[in-house]
Amino acid sequence: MAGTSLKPLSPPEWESLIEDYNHTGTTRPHLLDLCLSSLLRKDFPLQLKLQLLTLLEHHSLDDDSDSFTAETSLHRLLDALRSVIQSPTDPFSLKDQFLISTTAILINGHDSITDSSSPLTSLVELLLTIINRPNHGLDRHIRGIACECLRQLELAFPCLLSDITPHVWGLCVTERTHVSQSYVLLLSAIILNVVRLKPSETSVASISNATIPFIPFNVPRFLIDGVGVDFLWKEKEICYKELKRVISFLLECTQNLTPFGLLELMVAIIPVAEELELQASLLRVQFSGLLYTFDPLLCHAFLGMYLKFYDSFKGQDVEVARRLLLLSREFHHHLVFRLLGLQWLLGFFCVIVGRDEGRKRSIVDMSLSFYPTIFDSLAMKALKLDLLAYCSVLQCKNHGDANGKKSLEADKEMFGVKLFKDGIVSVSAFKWLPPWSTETAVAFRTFHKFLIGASPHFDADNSVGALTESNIFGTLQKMMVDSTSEFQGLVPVTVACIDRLLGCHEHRWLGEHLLETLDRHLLPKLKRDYSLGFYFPIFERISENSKVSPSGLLELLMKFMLFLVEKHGPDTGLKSWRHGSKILGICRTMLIHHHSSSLFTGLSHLLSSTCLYFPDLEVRDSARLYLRMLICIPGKKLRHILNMGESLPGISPSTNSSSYFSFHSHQSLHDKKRTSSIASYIHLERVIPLLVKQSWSLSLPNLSINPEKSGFLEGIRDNEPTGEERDSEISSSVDIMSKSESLQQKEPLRVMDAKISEIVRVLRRHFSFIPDYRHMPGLKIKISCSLRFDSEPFSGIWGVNKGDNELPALYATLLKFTSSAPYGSISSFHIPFLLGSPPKKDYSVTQTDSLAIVPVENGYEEEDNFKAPVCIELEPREPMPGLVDVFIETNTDNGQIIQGQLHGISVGIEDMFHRVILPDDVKGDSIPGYYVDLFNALWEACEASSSTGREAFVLKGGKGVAAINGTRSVKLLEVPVTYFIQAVERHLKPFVVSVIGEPLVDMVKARGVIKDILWKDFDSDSSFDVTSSEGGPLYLSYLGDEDEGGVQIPSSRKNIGYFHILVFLPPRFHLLFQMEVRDVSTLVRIRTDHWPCLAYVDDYLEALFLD
Amino acid sequence: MPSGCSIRALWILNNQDYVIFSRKFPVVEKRWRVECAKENDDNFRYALLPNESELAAAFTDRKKREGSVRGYGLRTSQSIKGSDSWVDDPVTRHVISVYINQGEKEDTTLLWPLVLHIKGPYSILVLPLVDPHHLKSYSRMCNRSDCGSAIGADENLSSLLLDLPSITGAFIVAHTIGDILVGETMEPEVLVAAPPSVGGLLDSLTGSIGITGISARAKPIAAPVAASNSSGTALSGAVMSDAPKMGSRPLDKDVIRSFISSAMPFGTPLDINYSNITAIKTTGFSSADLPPAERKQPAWKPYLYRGKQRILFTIHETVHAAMYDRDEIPDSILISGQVNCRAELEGLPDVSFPLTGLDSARVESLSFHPCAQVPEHGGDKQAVTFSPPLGNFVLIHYQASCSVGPPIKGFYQLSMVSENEGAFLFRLSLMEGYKAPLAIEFCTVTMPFPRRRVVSFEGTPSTGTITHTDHSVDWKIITNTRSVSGKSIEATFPGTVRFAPWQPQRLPSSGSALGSMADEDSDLETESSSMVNVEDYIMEKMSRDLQAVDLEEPFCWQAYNYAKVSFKMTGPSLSGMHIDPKSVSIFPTVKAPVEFSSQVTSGDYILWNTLGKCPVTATPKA
Repeated sequence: MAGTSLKPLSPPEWESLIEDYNHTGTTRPHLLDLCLSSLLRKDFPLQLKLQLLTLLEHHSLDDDSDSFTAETSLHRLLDALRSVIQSPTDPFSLKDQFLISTTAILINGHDSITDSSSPLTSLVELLLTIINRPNHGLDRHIRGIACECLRQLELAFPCLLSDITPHVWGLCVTERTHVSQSYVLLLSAIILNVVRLKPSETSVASISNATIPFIPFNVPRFLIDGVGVDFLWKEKEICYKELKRVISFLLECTQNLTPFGLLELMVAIIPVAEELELQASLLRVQFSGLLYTFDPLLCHAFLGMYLKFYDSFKGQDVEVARRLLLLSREFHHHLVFRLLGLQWLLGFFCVIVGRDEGRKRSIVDMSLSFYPTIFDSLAMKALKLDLLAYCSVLQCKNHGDANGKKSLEADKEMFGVKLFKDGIVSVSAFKWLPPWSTETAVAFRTFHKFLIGASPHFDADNSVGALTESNIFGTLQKMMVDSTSEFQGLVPVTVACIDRLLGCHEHRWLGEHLLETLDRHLLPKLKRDYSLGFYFPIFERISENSKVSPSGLLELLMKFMLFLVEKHGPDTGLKSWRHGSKILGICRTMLIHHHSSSLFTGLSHLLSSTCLYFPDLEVRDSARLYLRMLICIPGKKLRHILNMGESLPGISPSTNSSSYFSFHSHQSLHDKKRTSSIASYIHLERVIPLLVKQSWSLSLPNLSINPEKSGFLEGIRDNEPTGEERDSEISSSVDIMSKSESLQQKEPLRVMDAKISEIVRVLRRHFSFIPDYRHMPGLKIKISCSLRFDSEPFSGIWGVNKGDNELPALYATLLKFTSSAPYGSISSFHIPFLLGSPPKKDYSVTQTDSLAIVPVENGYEEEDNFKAPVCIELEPREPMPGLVDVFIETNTDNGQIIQGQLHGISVGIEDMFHRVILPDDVKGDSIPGYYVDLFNALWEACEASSSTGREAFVLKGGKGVAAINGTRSVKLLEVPVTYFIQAVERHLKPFVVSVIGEPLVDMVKARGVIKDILWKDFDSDSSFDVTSSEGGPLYLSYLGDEDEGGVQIPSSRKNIGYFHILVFLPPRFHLLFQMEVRDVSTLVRIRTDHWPCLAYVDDYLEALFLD
Repeated sequence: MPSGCSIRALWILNNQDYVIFSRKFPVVEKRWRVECAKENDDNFRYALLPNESELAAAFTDRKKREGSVRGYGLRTSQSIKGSDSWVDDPVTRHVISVYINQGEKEDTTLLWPLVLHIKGPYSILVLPLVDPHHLKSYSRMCNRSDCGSAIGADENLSSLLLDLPSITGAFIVAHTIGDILVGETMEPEVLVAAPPSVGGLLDSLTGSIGITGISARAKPIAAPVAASNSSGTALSGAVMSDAPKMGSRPLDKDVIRSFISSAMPFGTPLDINYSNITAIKTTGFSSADLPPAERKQPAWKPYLYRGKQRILFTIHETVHAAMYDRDEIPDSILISGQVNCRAELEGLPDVSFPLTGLDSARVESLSFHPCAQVPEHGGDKQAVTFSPPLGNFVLIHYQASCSVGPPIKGFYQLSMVSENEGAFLFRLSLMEGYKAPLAIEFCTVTMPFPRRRVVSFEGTPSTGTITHTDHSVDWKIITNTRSVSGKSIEATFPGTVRFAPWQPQRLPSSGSALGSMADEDSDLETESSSMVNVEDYIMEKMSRDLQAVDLEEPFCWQAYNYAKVSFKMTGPSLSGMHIDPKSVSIFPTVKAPVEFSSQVTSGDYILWNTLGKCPVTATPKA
């Protein structure tokens, strides 16, 4: 029997094998043989044998169950079965299971029966032998099992037993024990197949008269040939009558069947009844009682029959529906059956409405009984609300065929509204429970059902207008507006509901309509306080939707912004920031989604007032950026830019972003490399190059003993130092200031002559207009630069692949500046958008290729398009050259972020040159005079021995005072006069205060570049040295104060005249030049109150004129 | 293909999502395979049934996707396309789908309908046979891209369920298996006046003195009042809280195996009566078990009774009430009752009796045991004829309203005088207008405070005693078992209860059924100054972190203040349902005594706090 080569398994081994098999499906070869050998062993426990049989059953399902297709194995299985069945000692449960499993395995192993020698035949014969002992006492159960096995075989191989129907019927009639159910089911299965498939006329003709013996069993020809006959039962009266007899016998058995048995019988008998065109009343008598049982399965079976014979049962709809509803009300049922009852009811309504429109009326009449009750579970409430929604839909749809009475229509509409309002009461707690509560979910589900009920997905376009005007729609909208305005917690739920509609192709318009409603009715209701923050998700949706005009929202946001500004205080800083950011978020969304220019007016108002008034710096900054972008960047490009941000990781869940994210993170290593070379193709350049390409700056040790004070030349101090502060202030200033200064502290009263007092007056006036950078924004120096980048290397490195004609662009560029020089804090600079400059080579190629004549000017203009002006604003604490480091942060077209350092911008001393601040009352013609007076006063004051040195001058704001501590210097420049004048005109024009001496005045005036200054003759100014006014030869020794003894200058080098140049050096210093111009050389006398600047002035002057 | 009820496979999982039992039915599976082959659809191919590990993985996967074992049930913002909650129907918490990922292939196959029944620590999954077009239809439903089907749309779940008795059958099988698993295969209780006590089927077979059914079968809906202190999570985590049971009662696989092979040998259930099956397995048949001579023995009665004959009837009524004591909301009282029967009669007799005393206006519904024959139309004077099965069985279920006033009337008021102190007042009248044979055995009023810890209480009731636990105050109005018969009782109980300071409970991260939305604006709290009323303020504060309840609950119990009354009464039924022993007739005639008893117990008998919020429903007014 079992393969001798196979080692039999022990019970524990079997158990682990079964475990493995069930769990993972792994098995071992020759399983059948192994099992059979174990099954036949007497020492194996019964339970294990039963498990082995189940294992074989499960195994027969597998794809690779080749052992079951081999007929020899199946024969062996049958042999084993026979030996078990005939064994007097084996328990019934093993025999039962063996029969079942063998049948299952054989059924699974055969797709069809092709010959009569198959193991199936032997099995059928064995089974027939077993069942052929009706009413036998002891083995009644196994007879029932055998009947069931035969029934399964008959179901698997239809008409297998058709030849022996008469015998089966005979047994069926005879059997009286409880297993008669099995006989009845077997008979019903055979009859069904016979009736359906009409195997052959001979077998059909012999339902009651046996023509062949019961045993031995032969596979009927029908199965082998596989042809049915064309046969009408009604035509052959004998057959029909016999069949009817069988059916009525079967129908009489129904009382004796279990519910499941009854279901099986109905499954078999209903098609037969249909085929034979039996009167439905027969079935009705037998089965209508099922509706009144509390067994859900029987109710369901009845429903199936009812719908099948709908016409015969006509008129019972309401009764059936009522029973189904009661099923759902019965407390003793498990919840799921109550739910199923409601589901059937819904399905039932759909079916009967589909068949007979006229039934709508009776369904609507029932609607009041669908009201949820208090202890209904929420699931049931949800389904009952569905029923109400369904009734409301039926009611609404009815009004098409109603006879058009307006009041009636209105009544009907009101009816739907009433159903909704009454229904929603059962979950009304959704209003105050947290938004995640189940009540909320149910309420909004119902809301949705009522909403789309009138326009289901299959006919969305039919009644858009009618729906939006209907009462129910109005009610729903009102509910949404009211509950959302009253309960902020509902905002996310409302938004989710709208999102759901917006996401639906057919109902997008509904969502948009709701948004419009919210825009119209909710926004005015909202209180302008911090609670408005809850509503931002709704605002977001409104701003996203191009169908809804944003003006209302903008207005509201504007008011909210003003509220925030008003409420801003120390405690609300964070709130202001958060709300401000949210407002900007909405603005951004609007920028992305809206085209209309009306938006731009409102939005720019909002943005500009945000930049002006909003307390939070970051918000202000961002608002400014948005405003810039709004104004500077054309709509399409702007949307593109903003969308880029949209798809940044973590913001949007679209698939795009995830791939983008991985791409991005993957490349971060390369980025480091790439950013290091950034300066080679992104250039920030000075618009006006420096004259002195110096790369050094004078670094002086900090002489201050107070390290907190920045400058070693701390010339400014507070006007009225108080208390102890004064001491330290003084002690520090003693060291810093000149002796005369400290004397001034001690000697506040001095005697001054008229000239000096005039000088002091002029200086006081002047200093009082110099801002004190310690207390207010200081004077700013602006350095104009331009930013450009080369397209070609940029595209190559950053992988921005564009079309041939498209240039890469940088978006939202941020330049940050730092410097080690004392320039104060340098604000960063934003450039929203910059195109890459086209490759030069390309440019020429296209020109030559096309042979087009392109005006050169065009090229220049375009060139400018690829440069962005950048202005670096310095607020120097000390006028000195230095280097400004530049860092860039920008984005490429494809959303990559570029960060890195560019080449620094060097700041020269000339950048510090600033015109003197004019007092407000000095206007027009008096300006040149003021400058001259000031020049003269400063010139005097900067004389080292000047008596004004002890004077302190109050700065603007009145808090700080400054003293003048002058230094002098001289520089001889060997430059011909014409060059000299040109250079002055080019570089120092704004600072020229006066030109003195006719020859020079004539020359300069004739050129017409320098205007609006004081022109003087030599002799008109008494303040000049006699020697100089005489026009005599210039001797160095002549400048006796500076140098003793000098070289005599040839007289041919005649003094032509003087330039007086006054330069203000922020924050409060001055540089004065008195340029004595001759034909081939110029002597520059320099006076300053900031001696370190002399170090650079020399170089500057040389570069200026020797260029 | 005619639709009966066949089962392709079933699985039992424990609360660690490990399959502890599985059974596949090859014959049914073959039918499915043949049907699939007929479909001739490239997108739809037969897939092997998953093995245990694949199923467990798919089940776990679904749990993750749907937030809990049962799932959301409704479409929420977390629902994803292709999942059950996308269909947006509460029944998808019971009829579920899983995606099976089989081995090397990347694609997954949809397995639907899986009937899910959770009993104790076990999840029972039953896969009934349906038509391929049903599966396709469901697959379309859970993958449709629109906003959810409208009621009555062409393709909806309701129509599918109506079309599929196999799902209904699978539920019945699942429930039966569940009862067997946890050992709850009790028969309905039948009361007798005197011993010998009446047990189940086996008693009647052996004639021995059995043990009275300890209690009626498990009620279909779990008692909602949170008596246990873990009630905060008990509902959402039912599976978890039952975990300790695992150890106490190991799963007897052999019992399940043998039940399945008898009840549905080929996957088609035939008889799932557990007591009958057990009797046949254990007792078998002897030559003395002769088939009846004159008529066929029903399949549901494999054995015939032999011995002293008698019939017992017990009417058991449960009163559900929502008492509001408010003008604008009517109280609602509903009685659900059942007539339990035990007919110890030899042979196969028919028993009949008229349903008297049933004012048809009071009884909303009557439904019968399948063994009963009822006239097609209900009415006042109908008679019931039935051929009784063995053992105790429920003959009739009915719903009715009260024929007298509510057994307990009055009001309950609770007002929070400060954040941690509430003043309450009960004024109740018991059995008002009730007459002599009706007697109340016990009556307890419980004030549950599942979310607050009771520190102390003050107050003395006019009658009865008070105890309190951490989360409830119990007032035993009638303490001694000596029943108070036939007279009405007035009881008042004023007092105050003090709670430990309120501590907001963080929502567990695992999330409630419908998920907790992260409230980023939590610090945007509305200014407390705007709350005028301390009570509103506390309610507002407390309701903020309420968890979502399961769809199986009628409402969020924890959001309300209420008192629950439990009582038991003896005497005639409240609905007026009555069986006159003299009118019971047996055919063929045999002399057998008829005993009748009845009892009334409370179900959800709730006194809502008159001063607080309460759940309501609209009453239909035409």
